[in-house]
Amino acid sequence: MTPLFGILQLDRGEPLGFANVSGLVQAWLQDAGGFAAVGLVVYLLYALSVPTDKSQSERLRVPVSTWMLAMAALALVCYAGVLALLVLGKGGSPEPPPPPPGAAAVTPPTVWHPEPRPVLLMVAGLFAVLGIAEPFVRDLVLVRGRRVWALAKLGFKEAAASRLYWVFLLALLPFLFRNVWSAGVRPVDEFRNLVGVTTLVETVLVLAVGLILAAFSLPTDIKNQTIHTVLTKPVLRFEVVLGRFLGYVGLMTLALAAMTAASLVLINAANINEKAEAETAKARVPVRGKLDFKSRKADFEGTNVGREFDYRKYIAGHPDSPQRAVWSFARVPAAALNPPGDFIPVEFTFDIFKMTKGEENRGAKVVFRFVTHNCPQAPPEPNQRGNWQWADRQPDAAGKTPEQRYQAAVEEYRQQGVNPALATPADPKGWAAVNDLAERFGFYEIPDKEVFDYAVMGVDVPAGLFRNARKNDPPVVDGKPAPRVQVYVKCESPGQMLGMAEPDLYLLESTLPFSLNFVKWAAGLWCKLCVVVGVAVACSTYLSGVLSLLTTLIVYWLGTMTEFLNDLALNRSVGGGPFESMSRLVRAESPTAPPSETGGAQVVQAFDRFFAWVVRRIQNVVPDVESFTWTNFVSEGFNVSGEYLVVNLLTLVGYLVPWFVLAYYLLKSREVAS
Amino acid sequence: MAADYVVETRSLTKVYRDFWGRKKKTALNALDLTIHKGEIFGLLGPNGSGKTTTIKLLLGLLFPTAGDAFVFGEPAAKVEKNERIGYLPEESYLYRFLNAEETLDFYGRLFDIPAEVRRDRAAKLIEMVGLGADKKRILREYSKGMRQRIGLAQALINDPELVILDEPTSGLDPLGTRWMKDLILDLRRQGKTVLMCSHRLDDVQDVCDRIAILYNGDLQTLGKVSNLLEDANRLELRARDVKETPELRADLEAVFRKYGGRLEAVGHPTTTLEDLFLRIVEESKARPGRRYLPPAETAASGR
Ligand SMILES: Nc1ncnc2c1ncn2[C@@H]1O[C@H](COP(=O)(O)OP(=O)(O)OP(=O)(O)O)[C@@H](O)[C@H]1O
Ligand SMILES: [Mg+2]
Repeated sequence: MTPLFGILQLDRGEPLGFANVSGLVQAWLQDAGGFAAVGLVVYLLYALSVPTDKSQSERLRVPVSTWMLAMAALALVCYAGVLALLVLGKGGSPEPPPPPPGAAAVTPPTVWHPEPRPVLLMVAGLFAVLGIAEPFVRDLVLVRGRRVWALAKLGFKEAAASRLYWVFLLALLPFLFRNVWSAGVRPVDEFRNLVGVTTLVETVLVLAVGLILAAFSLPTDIKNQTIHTVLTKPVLRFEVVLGRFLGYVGLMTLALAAMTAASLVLINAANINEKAEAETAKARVPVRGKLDFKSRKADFEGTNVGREFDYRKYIAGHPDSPQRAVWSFARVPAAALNPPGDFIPVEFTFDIFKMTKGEENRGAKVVFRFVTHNCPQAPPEPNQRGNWQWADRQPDAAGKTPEQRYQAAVEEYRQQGVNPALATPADPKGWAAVNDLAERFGFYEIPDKEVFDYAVMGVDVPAGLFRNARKNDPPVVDGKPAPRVQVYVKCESPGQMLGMAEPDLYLLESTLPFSLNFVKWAAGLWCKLCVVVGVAVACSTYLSGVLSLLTTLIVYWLGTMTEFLNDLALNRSVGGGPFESMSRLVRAESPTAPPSETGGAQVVQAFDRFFAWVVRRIQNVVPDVESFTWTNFVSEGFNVSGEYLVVNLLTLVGYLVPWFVLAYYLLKSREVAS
Repeated sequence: MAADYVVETRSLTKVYRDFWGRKKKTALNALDLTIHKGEIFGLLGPNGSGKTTTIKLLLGLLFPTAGDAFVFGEPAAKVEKNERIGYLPEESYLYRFLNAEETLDFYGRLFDIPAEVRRDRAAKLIEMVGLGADKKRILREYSKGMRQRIGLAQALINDPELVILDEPTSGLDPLGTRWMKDLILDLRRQGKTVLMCSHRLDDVQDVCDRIAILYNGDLQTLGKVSNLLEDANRLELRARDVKETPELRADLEAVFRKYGGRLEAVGHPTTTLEDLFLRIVEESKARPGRRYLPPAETAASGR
């Protein structure tokens, strides 16, 4: 069984969006700046060690400008400042609280840190980057598209001459042998699986071919000495790097486009189970809310049912249960105000945990209550059984509370022969009544919905509710505006626990076609392709083909293990880092015992901190490959927002630029003819 | 750096080192050299004497260990100078998967020349190097001489002021060698400077104005070919329609003795093998189908 999307997403948190860009830039300047500073110092030391009377050519090859010296000096001053703050223990960002023992640590999203230390570190990095990039930028303005294009075309022709393109026919394999690999697949998962296998095959093909082409091209050129002839033309060495990169990326882009188009045609033509198609062959645009668990007691946080690796929390099912799972939405999507049919679907997937053996194939009975900030809810008093109450009990001129007025309005409709409790969008008259009530009172309840375990299901919410949510500004609670819309979920079936996590319920703002989403997935793969080709080309300016290939493979592979690296980098594995674990092993101590305070133990912990520091530097070099992976979005039927892709592109550029600067220096310093 | 020096080296030294910086070989030792505009300069020396190394240093493919190399008055490491240089590598280091046309197009695009001029020049050069019939074949299928020809065309695509030729005649048949030599002389006539290196002395002798001889990285001789080769102590006469007889010899000896000299040798001049080869090829062209029959076989078939 495939794990559900919500779970997969929880693992990584929301993908990075525009809100994270400033934080990303800051982090980039800090990290790239650190490497730039080291590079700059090494460069300057080397350049200054060349005796001034040596040769003019040597000084031309390793130029040192006042700018570089000034930037290096400024950077060093800033780094000294950072060090001082570090020693004084001032100006740092607050440490996130350690996760409770045993819980999976979630990496905090990248955000801007306004404290003096991170800002100073960023400024230092900026100076270092400006310094080291000067010769690079100076040469960059001399780059001519004409030459780069000629070199790119060369890479194109070389690959074409090797008749490599036949490999791409392998992309058809999943379709040819579909009955073989899809034999044991549940019908509902058919579409997920088809998409999963197709994307996997395409990813492997594009990345492997791109990697091989890129890793071996320059080394072959140097070995065959063909590069001599090229470099005796007025060609900048960096243009060779750029030409190779663009040539192979261009070629593989064509291949990727062709394979994506072919896959789309074949997926659309494939014979898919209807239910699977309805569940996943689309691109939902969800509006996500924040999940809280509430009960009569203020500190209810949902129950753990004791399953391992369970991200979900549970509420107990009973008609009198006060426990609720509450999703809060701060934003009302504009599309929700006047949608076609005057309703907005809300989709959910819940886990049902049976405490007693109930009837098989029967779901749990669930109540959904949708309210706006104009209709706040309050927990029930002990004598009110499990029912949550309308918090606003102010009687109006006629002496009626809002709830009483609502009941009266419902009654009025009943007398006209319309039952709002049973109306659906299929019944226009009834639905108009529901919308009217929701718009007037900001309240809508679905009293009796049968929910099945682990299935994507939906209910329709009148758009009138959202129109109501737009009225008035929400009151400010604890310094923050109260959410405009809330969904209260209650389970009524005794003996059943209803489990949910934040991504399990969402408003469906709109649904886009699957094909578009698949193309967006391909855009993510394209970013990975650029990473692979860029790193391989950069490595191959200095390393042999095989070594470039291996280096790129390792870098990429580490990039798929960001979670693991994170744990090492933050030094938060159970039982401490590798050195502490080892010492515990030697002393036969349990990994969960508190760390001892002896001098030896402190040395061991210092080693671990150093190790974590090294891992963090490795992390800086490694691409976050998973952030380009949209496979789950596509196979589960969720829209990949354009925002994510823009951030992907920014991340890509930020990642590749340092590699290119490195390649620039490597190839420039290399005697290609020896 | 006087303006009329096209190439200038100042105690140019190259030491090849291995990965760890250990010295492998001093390929060039403090070379001082100037090449003037409009001359054909020959770099001579046995295998491994540092000719190719010198050229690569001038082109910026290698970095000098010490000293400086200037081309057109600029340090060799500058890329801009390459606009005015044409280079024919020792072996034609060209992309084997391109055909002749694509090759010229590719290298042409690397220069700042208008597209029309580039296309025009490429077509002319292909004709000039005699590859008109083979221009659509990829270089992998070319013979060594054909590659040398396309290599030359590639070197001339930018109409360079300085042409650097590393072993221009290697791989060429005598006809091609002659053609290459004529072409080099032609380049001089167009006012271009040529730097060539070779260990085929006759080639050098035929075309070069000045030569330098390298041995083991050291400059041994430098000067005008005519000066270097002239033997001021000897005199050569040549005559037609006389038979070599003892009487003739005695008379000549008497004449030379009268002028205080001494007769060294009398004999028939031989033509060079090159001349013979050229004559035969010319004749075969004029009379297609001609075949050589050895004398013995003629006799046998006559019986
Ligand atoms: N890449 C290299 N690494 C180490 N030594 C080299 C390298 N290239 C050339 N050499 C050495 O430098 C010396 C000069 O080589 P170079 O190629 O300049 O000779 P050359 O005069 O061109 O010879 P040839 O007539 O055979 O072409 C030789 O001893 C050679 O072994
Ligand atoms: Mg040589």
